Amino acid sequence: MRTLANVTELRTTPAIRLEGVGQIYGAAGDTVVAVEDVSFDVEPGKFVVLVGPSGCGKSSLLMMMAGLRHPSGGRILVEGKPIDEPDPDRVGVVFQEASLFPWLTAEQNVEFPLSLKRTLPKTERLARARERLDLVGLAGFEARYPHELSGGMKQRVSIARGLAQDPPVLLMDEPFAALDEQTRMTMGDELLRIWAETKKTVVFVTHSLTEAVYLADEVMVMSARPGRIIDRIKVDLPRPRTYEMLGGEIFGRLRDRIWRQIRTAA
Amino acid sequence: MSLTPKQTRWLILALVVVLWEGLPRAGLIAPLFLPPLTQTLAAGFGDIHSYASHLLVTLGEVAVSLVFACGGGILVGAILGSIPKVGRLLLPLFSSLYAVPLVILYPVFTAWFGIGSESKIAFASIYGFFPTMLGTAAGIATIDPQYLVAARSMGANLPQRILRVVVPAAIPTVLSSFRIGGALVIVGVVVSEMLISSAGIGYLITSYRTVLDTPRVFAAILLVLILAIAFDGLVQLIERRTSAWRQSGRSPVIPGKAPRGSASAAAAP
Ligand SMILES: Nc1ncnc2c1ncn2[C@@H]1O[C@H](COP(=O)(O)OP(=O)(O)OP(=O)(O)O)[C@@H](O)[C@H]1O
Ligand SMILES: [Mg+2]
Repeated sequence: MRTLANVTELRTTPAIRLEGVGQIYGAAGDTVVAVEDVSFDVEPGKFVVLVGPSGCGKSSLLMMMAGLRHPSGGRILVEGKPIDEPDPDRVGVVFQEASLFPWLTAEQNVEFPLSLKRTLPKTERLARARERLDLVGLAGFEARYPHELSGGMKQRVSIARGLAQDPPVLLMDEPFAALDEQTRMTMGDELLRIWAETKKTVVFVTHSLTEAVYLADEVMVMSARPGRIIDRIKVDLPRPRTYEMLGGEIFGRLRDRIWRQIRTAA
Repeated sequence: MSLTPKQTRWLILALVVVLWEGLPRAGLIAPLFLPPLTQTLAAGFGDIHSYASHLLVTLGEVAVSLVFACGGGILVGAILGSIPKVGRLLLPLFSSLYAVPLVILYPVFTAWFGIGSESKIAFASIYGFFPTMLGTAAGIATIDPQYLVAARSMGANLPQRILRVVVPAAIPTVLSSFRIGGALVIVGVVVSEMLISSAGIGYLITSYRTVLDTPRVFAAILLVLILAIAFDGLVQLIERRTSAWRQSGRSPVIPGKAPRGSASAAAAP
């Protein structure tokens, strides 16, 4: 009986749950309400994209989901448990600027989070790092320093690092914003491949509506500050997504709907 | 035929040696102003015991001053650089102090510490302290905060963030301020020896100069030059060892010194 109950409970536990989450910056008298009363669930294995006008609180929301900031109100559960501090076993984070450590090689960068806990011996950690680099298509580049890699390759290392501890959730804050359009398209396809292979739950922030629709199972639109979720749009396009879909009618309709929401929200 | 920078440097050195020997010998410069190189070397080697014992005094003073100036400078700089509130308060003050020509204080130092090594060490320590401290503070204060956020997101605690992010990120700036601070320590020791003292290379320079023994003066100057170059070379070696990653792809590649893997780095997407 108990095990059965546990199984059903596991199945219904959302990967991420936000309950009335708010974020207020600044001291008394001079406060900015960045995020207000945001509640949603993300089912395990889903690819959710967060869009909204600049400064609406997307990064703030992601920071809170990563445990890097405490919500001013409400609570956040990841895998059914509150996230009070960063927990790389549950949540991996990929930032806009690659934020790789320039004094470490690609392999050492990916090994960095593993080395903090020292639960694995060094040889095993490095083997794991190489495995992750292989996953993101960077086999053979282990010994390169970040300055010896292109922008797209740096973000691949960043993704490999975010996945180092094999967390079920991956948070990505405009990871491809600094890349040129061609690299960006390739990286989108690469990310979808990695996502399909690893079955992670992904929350992805972007300013590109095309990227949003192309990647997402669901697009969440935020209003201007104070940021709230004003629309949730299911993207029913089949997977794998292809370049041809970009010109299709469904794609255009979805993008238009998101754009109208953002324009009225801004 | 074009020369590599390394070849050019050797060529310039050879030229200096030839001119140093040739100009006085040809009578173009009076040997009283510049004795030929060979004569300078002969004077130096003739008095090798005296030079060695005075060099030892200078080296000892430099070593102790380095510990005070650079150790203290790195420590205080690290504190000021990592606590923005304190740094904002004190750094402008220290910067203006740094602009004061400290050598005017040296007579005061001899009054306090006597004319022995103590006053040289005190003066050189303070002289080298400021650039080391200011450079270190700037190096730590300008670390990209994104590195620290990233480290935190990967579960790094405070000691780990300091040891594994702040320290390696600051090493290049700390080393280059150590290089400047160390050079100033050498200047400080030699200058204070030249002013008021009873031992050291600076003392030799002054005492030989007053009796117009130019070859011996130049032999002493040559020693100071070698000392300064040796220190600089040592720090450069440490710099190369610790910051191989800094051989940025953006800086021009020096032939024969190409960074690891750079030949193929540009090829990948
Ligand atoms: N540390 C902070 N202190 C004070 N205000 C902040 C802080 N971080 C963010 N804010 C404010 O909170 C609001 C939301 O910021 P946030 O970075 O979350 O927006 P965003 O949606 O990610 O914007 P963008 O699309 O430009 O990246 C902004 O108005 C910003 O000025
Ligand atoms: Mg943002």
